[in-house]
Amino acid sequence: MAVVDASASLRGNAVARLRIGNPAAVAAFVMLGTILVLGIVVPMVAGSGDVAQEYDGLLGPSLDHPFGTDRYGRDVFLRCMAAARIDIALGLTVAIAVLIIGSVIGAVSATFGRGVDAVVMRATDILLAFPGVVLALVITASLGKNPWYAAIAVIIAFVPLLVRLSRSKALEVRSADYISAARLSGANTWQIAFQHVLPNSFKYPFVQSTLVASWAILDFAALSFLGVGVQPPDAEWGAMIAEGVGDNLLGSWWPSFFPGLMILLTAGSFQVIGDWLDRKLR
Amino acid sequence: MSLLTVDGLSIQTRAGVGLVRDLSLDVEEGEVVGIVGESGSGKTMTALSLLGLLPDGVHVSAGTADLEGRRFLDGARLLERPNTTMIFQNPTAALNPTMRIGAQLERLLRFLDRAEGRRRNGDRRDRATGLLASMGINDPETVLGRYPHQLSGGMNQRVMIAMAIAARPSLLIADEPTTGLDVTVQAQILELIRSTVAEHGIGVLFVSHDMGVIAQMCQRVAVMYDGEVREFADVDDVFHAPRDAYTRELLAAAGEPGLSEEVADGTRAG
Amino acid sequence: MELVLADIEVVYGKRRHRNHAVQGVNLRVRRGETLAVVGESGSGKTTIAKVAAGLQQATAGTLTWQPNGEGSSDGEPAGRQRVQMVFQHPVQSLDPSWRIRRSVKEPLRHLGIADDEAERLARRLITEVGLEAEILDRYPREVSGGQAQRVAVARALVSDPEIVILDEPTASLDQTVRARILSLLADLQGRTGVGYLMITHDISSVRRLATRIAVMYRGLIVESGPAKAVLENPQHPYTQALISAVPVADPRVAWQGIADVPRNPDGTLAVTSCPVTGSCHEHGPGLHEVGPDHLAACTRVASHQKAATT
Repeated sequence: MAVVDASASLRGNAVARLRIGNPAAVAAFVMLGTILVLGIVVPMVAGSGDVAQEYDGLLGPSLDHPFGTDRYGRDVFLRCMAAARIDIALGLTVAIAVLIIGSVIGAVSATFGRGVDAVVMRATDILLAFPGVVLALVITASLGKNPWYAAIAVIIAFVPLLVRLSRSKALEVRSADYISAARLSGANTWQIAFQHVLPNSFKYPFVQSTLVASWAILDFAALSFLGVGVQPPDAEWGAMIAEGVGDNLLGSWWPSFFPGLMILLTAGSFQVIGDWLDRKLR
Repeated sequence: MSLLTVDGLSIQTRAGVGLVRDLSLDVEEGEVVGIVGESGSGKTMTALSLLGLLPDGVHVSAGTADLEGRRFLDGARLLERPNTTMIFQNPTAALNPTMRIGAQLERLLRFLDRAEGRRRNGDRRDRATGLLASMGINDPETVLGRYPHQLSGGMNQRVMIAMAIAARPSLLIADEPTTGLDVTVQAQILELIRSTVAEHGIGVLFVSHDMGVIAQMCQRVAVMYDGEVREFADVDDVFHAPRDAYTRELLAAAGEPGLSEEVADGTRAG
Repeated sequence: MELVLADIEVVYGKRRHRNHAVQGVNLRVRRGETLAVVGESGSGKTTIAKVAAGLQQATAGTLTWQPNGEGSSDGEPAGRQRVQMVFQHPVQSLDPSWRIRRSVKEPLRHLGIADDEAERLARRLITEVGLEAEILDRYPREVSGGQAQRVAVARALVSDPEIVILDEPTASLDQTVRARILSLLADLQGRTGVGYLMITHDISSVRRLATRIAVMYRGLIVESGPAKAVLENPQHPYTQALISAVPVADPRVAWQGIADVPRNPDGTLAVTSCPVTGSCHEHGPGLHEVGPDHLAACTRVASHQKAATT
């Protein structure tokens, strides 16, 4: 309820200002939109490229195969588009999950203070001591080689970051007079945390979550590259890069290049959108 | 000849909103001229414009200003930096928080020396000590070794006044220098400004919203409202024979609060 | 009913770094009256406000509600909703992500009052503070400081509290707005009978609203009494300094400020080293009666009285 309220007020205040003024941001939205649309439409129309179409592998980019074929004769373009769904969905899911979990924990921790806050801080300290990918690797290693577990691992890796950010904003909010006024009105600490602190400290974590989306895609690709995320023969950009590494050495650059390009464009677009949002919401 | 003459000063934002319209006033040597007004009256913008300190997006759109007969401001261009210094409202915030007071004072003295072509290296510390002592600070050595956040607002304001005087200005602009200070500290700072100004014969442009401060510090007063000067006259005339309705309103608020307006009209400004 | 603060002490820190923000303070706030607590920074007046509101715990002393008159010991502990507060920075005292309507109705919601009744009460209070009902639809950043303070007053009164604590209510407002807000507060007190505990450093608002005045210096009350008596016949040197430190808004009055008051090396007033008795502040002279219901903490006064009665 509180989170819906938060985004409602966010929308209410920001809608008027949400006209895109920045050409880079426009390009980013267009890019992301295009990839997303293609990622949905192309597999519906032309299949996900799982089935080898050519007898010969490793055909270079051509009109028939715009991104070429990999060593098994599968069309790289089709596989990239099929993978788009997974990666973008993952990026968004992780971002939203991290945003909700992180901002709630941060706001509650800051509002309750003292004991609760100390515990939360030590917990985030411990988690932040590990580099994101390493942490995700450790978690998936213990849970199993499965894209869902990989997604959970990435979420856990990023939550502490947002808890910290949300908490620091929440601490600023907590010292405001309207919080004292709320107490005098009879609000208990939970109500203050969810009705006052969370909505007013939501802006910065929200912006940060777009960056989290881009990092999540990178981390997930890394995990799949390492073999612990999406398993073959499913298509995922990171996994595709891994599969194409050997071919690269032999001179066939396209099986690795194009998935890599997709990652760059998608993660990069999220970053640009994040910057734009940051400026807009100031 | 007046010390400072401002003629037809107009200040606008980039979007064309007028913050100050056609302001004219003058300050004689050794005189304290007050600018009194409420928030949004344009008094601070006026003060900042004379030193070229207007914020981004705000510029002088018309008008001129002369100091000691020399034009230093013409339209949007600051022709030269006038021999003027300024003291600000929040003294602790106006000082460099990462440098000790002594370091800041010495750096200022070094800059001033260089500007005048002098190279007296050795005695800057002593000069800094002397400056602080002349501001009524009984223990200057200790203060020189402190950081601004370790000192009270009143002490920092003394430091700032010391720095402003060290530059030997012809004109001093004071923008709400005692707002935010305790009332007893304010009394001391006002007394300090009075004595310093008298001793050095400087002209002062004193910006404030407090009618009591204005009454006791100024010889002439400009009353500003919404970017315009409503009245510019001797302080006695302003307080005892006001010609403008807004001046009367300010007087009523300062004298007997509540007499001037009916409570019910809340849709107007406040 | 009156709110009684008895022997309130607030101490920060431990052992060597103790800071006595408030020491041995006794105050009573009655319905229909205004007690003004006057002091400068570090006097402890803001701490007193927070303790009285229940926002902060005192390290010693009690806060109780008692029937008017001399305190009986079976007063009930002060509950929160009987006390409301108006803060120094009006726009910051309203949640920026909430519409004004929601902020004004918040106290009623927590009292369990039905929404349509709460709406009616909110509208009524908004009108009483001199605003149009449509302001309820706005956000705090869309209104002026004076309007926001009126909203804050409406919110404070909407739950019909016994006492409202005014923490420097006009300090961040323009002069002309200040005057109107003070008029409004006086008017509302007359109509609703609410009591005010006003924390301020501004003598003019004290003159306008106060029934009684208590002057604080470094955590202690140095003088208290009926407003007229304290303002016209201040007994403690600090009170005298406070009053004479305010520049008079009349150029014909030769204002001397506090040039004659002795000072410490760091510039603060040397209340603690009075020329007559030396450092009386540390020995805590206690409050002596100097007039009907008028107390001052000054040994000079005490010895003068003693001399007068012998």
